[in-house]
Amino acid sequence: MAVSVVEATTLRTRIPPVRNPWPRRKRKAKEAFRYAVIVALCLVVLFPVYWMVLSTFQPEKYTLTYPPPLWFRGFNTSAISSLFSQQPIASWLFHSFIVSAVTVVITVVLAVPGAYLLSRLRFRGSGAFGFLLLFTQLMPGAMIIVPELEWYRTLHWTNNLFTLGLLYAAFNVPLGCWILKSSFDTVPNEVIDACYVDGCTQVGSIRRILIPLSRAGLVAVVIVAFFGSWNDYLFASAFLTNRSLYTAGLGIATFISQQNVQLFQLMAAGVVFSLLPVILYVSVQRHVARGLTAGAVK
Amino acid sequence: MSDSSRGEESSGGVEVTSGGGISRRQFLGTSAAGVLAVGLTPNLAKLKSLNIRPRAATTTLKLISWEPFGQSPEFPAWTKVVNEFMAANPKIKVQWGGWPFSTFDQNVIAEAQAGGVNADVVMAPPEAASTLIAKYNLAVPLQSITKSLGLVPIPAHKQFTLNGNLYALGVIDVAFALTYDQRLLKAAGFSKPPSSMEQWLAAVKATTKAPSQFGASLINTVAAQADWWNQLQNFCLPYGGAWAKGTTLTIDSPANIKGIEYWLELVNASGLKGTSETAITKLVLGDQVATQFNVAAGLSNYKTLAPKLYPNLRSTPPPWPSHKAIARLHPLLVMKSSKNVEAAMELVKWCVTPKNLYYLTVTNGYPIIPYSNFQDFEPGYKKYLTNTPWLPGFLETNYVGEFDILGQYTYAYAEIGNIIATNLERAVSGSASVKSALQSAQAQAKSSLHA
Amino acid sequence: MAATEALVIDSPEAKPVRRASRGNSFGRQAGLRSNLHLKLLAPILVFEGLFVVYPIIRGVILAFQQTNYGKTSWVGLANFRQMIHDPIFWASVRTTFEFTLAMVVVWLSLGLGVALLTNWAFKGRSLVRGILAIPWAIPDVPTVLTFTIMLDPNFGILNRIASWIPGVHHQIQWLTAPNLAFIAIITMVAWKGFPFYSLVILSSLQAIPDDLYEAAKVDGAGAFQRFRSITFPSIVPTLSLLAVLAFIFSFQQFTLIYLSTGGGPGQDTSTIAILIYNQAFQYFNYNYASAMAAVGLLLAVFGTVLFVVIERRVIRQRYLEGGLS
Repeated sequence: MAVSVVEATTLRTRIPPVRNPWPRRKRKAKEAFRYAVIVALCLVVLFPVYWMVLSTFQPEKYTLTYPPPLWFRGFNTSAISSLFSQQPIASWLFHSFIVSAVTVVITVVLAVPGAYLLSRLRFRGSGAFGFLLLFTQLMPGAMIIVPELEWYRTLHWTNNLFTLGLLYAAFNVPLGCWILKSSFDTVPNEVIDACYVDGCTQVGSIRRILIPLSRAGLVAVVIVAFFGSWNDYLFASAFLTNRSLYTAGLGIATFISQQNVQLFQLMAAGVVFSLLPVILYVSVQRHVARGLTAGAVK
Repeated sequence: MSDSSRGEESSGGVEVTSGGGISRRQFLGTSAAGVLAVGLTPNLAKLKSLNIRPRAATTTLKLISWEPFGQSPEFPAWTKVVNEFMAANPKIKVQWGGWPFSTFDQNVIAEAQAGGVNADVVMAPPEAASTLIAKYNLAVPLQSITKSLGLVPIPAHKQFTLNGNLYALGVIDVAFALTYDQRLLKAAGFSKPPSSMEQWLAAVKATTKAPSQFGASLINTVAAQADWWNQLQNFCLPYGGAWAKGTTLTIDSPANIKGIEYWLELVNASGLKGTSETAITKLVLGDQVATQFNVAAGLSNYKTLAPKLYPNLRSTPPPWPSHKAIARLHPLLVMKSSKNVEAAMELVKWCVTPKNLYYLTVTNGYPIIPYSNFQDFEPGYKKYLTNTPWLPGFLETNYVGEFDILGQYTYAYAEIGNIIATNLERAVSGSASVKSALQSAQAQAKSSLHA
Repeated sequence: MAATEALVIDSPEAKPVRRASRGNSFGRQAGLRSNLHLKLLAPILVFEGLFVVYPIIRGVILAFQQTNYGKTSWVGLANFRQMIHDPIFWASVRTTFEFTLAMVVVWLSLGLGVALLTNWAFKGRSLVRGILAIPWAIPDVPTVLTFTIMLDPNFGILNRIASWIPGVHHQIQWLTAPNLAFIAIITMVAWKGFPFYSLVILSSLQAIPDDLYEAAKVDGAGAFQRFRSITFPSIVPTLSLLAVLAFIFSFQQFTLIYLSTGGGPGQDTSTIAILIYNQAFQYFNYNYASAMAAVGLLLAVFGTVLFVVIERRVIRQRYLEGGLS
């Protein structure tokens, strides 16, 4: 079995040796099959990503040809370099990052009490509260945009990255509450009771027990909120009319209709735009894995 | 340096020209703006957000348009005209704003619905303009301007007329004609441009050598529905049809069916069925497409975008006997909500003043000027038109307006277009006939649209 | 209960198999006594009320109005009456129904499949889980661009691959032919969204204590039996929440569809979200769009309530009756 030494030891200590229903060879074959399926799945899932990168760096004369070359026929970085020299893409990315950071912080700050309410407290109207949170997700974005714009114009909050982040947070808090709730649910009551015995308050139990034990859930909330605001284009286009405040999602969407932005530049913009969320995810993903595997051996 | 960032700088530079006496603060502001104008580093544009601006008793006008966004080679001419306006009216400062063309309608309507468009002067596509006028009643009558200048607006301005008032003045006339690459046609044995429908089809067939060369760049996917409909609406004209007459829908009239069947033959022969608009654009710019049904506005951009195609680019009127095609008017409007309606009207007047409109039209190659007596003011106009090699075909085309082919449904331009396009896509992919597609479009339009 | 206590020491993150009650008695009483729930509720309710609920209500009000020549007037149910006679609206309702149903099924089964496949201690699992989550990180616009290139009938790689299949000659119109376009959209949306589901399912799979499986193995339960009696009941709450979210997300899906098919051919991929956008911002019928949105909201509320009821009654009952302890 392909398990690291530590894990194997843990396994052995925790699990009493049992009779093995499978003959050894059969199990090996099963494992090999499982590996094969996983590899095949990864290839299929990665293929569009590969194609995106390929279309960006393939020398121009090989794009839009048939049959399309399956491999790189050279490596053309002019798309990326012309993109950075022609468009203020670095500042777009920076703005997107600011907006997403605002979104993430507010979402996490409000999702923790929300999840606690859903998971640990029973009060009159708790069911309605849970439904209300889902309800906020149901109105199509295209419809909510005009009332929001009306609202923001009265408050003089348009053309402001912070208030845009606030708006994204409003859409992400309910999701965050529900995601974090399922994490909070997994913490056994006994642990919390033990905390109370030690003299901590309910708020103290959130801080000292629930949050540390729900790290994976928190990371999931962070990721969902970050992706949500990073991805948006519809609201940004209505709320940011000042070009010097453009976010990357908005800036890149404006490329699509532009005659002077070529297909490969568009793809390059797509790659650049995808890079940060992918990096963020990959770096946090280890944390998720650690968080998830801290107790259980999987 | 792209034109969009040049736009930032020039609008930075723009502010230099405003203001009366020079205070120390203004001087600092001016020099900062001057640095912006010459410095040519995009980072300096950020200074703008620090509010280092001259503050004086000036009127600030907000002009929104898609011009600062992407239709790049057009923007410098507009900036120049607007800068000259500010030089002539030192008390007025003009600020550019807006959205790219593809999202312009969406955003301008969102603002109108949310309580009014946040601008003094609006450049709008025809449908958005008539919506702002008729539905939201946001515009100010402008006939006094044309009267004082002595200009006669072409009949297409009917779309912007309500209760005898003219609420918008056309500045860009987007007109269609058949353009072609004379090198590719010659190589296939066509020394003259197609002058009949059969010849166009034959030329498309002969020049299609997939996957490297294609006979025509006709958009045919709903994903690009706005641009598809923009082109497609012309194809009721080959056999003298119309999509609607007055308040009567005639989508599935025999003339339309024949016209669209011809269009579909062209698409099938072109080898670009189902290909996305971005891909088609890339092929066109790469000099891989022989003929296009195209608007003149934007062709001058090919000089830089398609240097291989540009020298061989020529135009000819649509090859059907009537030589008819659509011209769409993009006008300027003044918003009622403006605190400076008079200054805003001055700006519009400045833009349609023959000298300036001529400059804009010629520099950007639009090339039709939407005022019928224009040649009385600028005798050089005709000469310019005949001397630009890719323009003559546009001049020989007989232009009709949206009202001629859409009647009262002009006000439902995009919706009727979407109904036709989504139904026709079935015929394009081969799962329905043109006739049945147009018939179901007619039925749908009848129950969904109210003229 | 002994097993649960062992877990507390061993693995604090594991969840008790039977979630006895939500919240313990102490927390419940304390919560009511100290009004803690009000203090926690207030900021969320104020925030969501101001930024989401109030705009939604404003949006619904617009459905009963009509703006003409700058004057807004109340028109009662006129917009709704028009909608009832609008074949395009009904076609979109149908498409939305098919699409959301398909997405709930596809997302959950893909998510569950991938989670089960990767839920074992194998070398490189961290890498594999990372790879399988990448689509989720890629924003909508680049996703559409890539799929459009891949599915292009004339230059796309997919038609190249299809041409290797004997008998396929013509260029397949993936995004514009009836049925195919619907399938292509499902595939793209599934690709983009499945990691969310597989990750959440995976994390709840990992919370199931190993001891249960070992005990079942001792009892001689086969793999399928273990799945049915241990795995599935344990993740049912997660699955039902994910079903609601999948329903909501697919109901809201806009960018991927709009940029790739625009809703065509016919109304094949034109969901209510697409139609509402078109009516509001392309056809400039804002009030009519609001009426459609109000009906859409009603349908979505109905769908959500249905899921919530199922979660609360049927599934929980079965899951408790399953007698896992």
